[in-house]
Amino acid sequence: MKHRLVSLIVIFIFALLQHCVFPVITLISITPNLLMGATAAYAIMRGPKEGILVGLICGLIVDVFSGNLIGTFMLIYSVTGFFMGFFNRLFFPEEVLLPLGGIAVGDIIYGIVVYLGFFFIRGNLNFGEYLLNIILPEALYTLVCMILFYPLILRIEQRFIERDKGNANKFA
Amino acid sequence: MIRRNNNNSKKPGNGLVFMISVFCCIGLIILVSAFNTARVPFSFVADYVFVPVQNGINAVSTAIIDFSDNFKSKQELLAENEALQEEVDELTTQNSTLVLDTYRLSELEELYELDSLYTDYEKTGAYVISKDSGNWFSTFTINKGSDDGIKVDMNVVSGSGLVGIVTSVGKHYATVRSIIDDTNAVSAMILDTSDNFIVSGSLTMMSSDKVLPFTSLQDTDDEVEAGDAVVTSYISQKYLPGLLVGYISEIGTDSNEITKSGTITPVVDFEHLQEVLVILETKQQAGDDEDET
Repeated sequence: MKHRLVSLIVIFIFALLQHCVFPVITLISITPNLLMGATAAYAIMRGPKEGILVGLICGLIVDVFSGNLIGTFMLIYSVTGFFMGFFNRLFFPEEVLLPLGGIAVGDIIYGIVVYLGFFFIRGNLNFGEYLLNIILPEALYTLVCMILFYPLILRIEQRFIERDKGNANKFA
Repeated sequence: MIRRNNNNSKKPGNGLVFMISVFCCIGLIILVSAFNTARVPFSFVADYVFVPVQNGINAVSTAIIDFSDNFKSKQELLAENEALQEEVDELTTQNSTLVLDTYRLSELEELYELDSLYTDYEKTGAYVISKDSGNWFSTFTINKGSDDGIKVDMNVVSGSGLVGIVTSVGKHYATVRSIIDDTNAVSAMILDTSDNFIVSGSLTMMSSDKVLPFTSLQDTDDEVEAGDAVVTSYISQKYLPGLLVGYISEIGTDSNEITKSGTITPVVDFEHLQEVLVILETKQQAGDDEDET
């Protein structure tokens, strides 16, 4: 229970950073997608089901404030979280490269899905421009920011893993 | 937490959870599109959990910006003051000519028994407290909502130019979709000639050239040229007429030789929006009032 609550607080803080702090301090016009970073990170650390759950919450936050139909971004984030969750089998806490790579990949997939669902459908065929101007810069910026934040999330996760291991040992 | 799928496990499989969540999301989309009141519980959470914190962050960042402004040198301030004084003088003379024009206009309107089309719109100021929806769309949240009289479809301006339109409202916040958003299109007209055309939002053009594309301009006399002012038209369904959008940047004839298209430089700086004004009258209301008189 505490585990989930802490994740919720982390998501809340990420949402505030992404929407209120980064747009003000940034010199370039791109903001990092920290909520997608959180979804991918939790999905890789905990598996597909948790990925879906975190994705739903992050998508809900984005939906409520973007004026879209609630559920559109929930769908996109939870699906991305689900697929990222399959990298869970390759997850080891000591390795930092895989989760960060996964976060970047997750953000690129997110960008492609948004393009397909919102722009391609309306006949906008210049994918190359969107790739160069939005998808890749956002993925890069998210990656750089998550390099800062991922170790913090990992440390919180490890504390819970150790606590659970401790509890499991009691049964042995 | 590393989970392994045990064969003896009674927990639902990954695939099942995935299908359930997809169905829930689709169900939610359908629900919200059918019943607008379905948004209410979510707005409630947004109102009481997010918006107060966002207001706090905005207060802190405004304080920091004000504090850093205090360090401007005296020279800078004096130069700025002089430039502003000149601008004020210029605007005062322009204003007096315009005041005379309005007197003549109302006399002529009375003469021809026309209803007054131009009214002074009642506005309320608001702060931008969060920029949402990432890099793909252009929406933001302001710190006034239904408690302050904001309703959906109210126009939002900043300084002298059109910023966007209110798309959803909570008790203490509202989301505004700006005109540069890809899903947005404004029915506009050239201020001098009153020719109507459409200005669309475009993510790619704003990020590369800082311009918006326009289409369907019929300009048979070739009067329109770069630098002409563009305002919202009278025939727009959602936008009040006469709001400045920007200035023509480029114009060219289409291959059909009938219409023209090109680009417009919007007058508002969308990257540094902090304060906006919401016009407290929607196009719908203006139309209803006109029908009554």
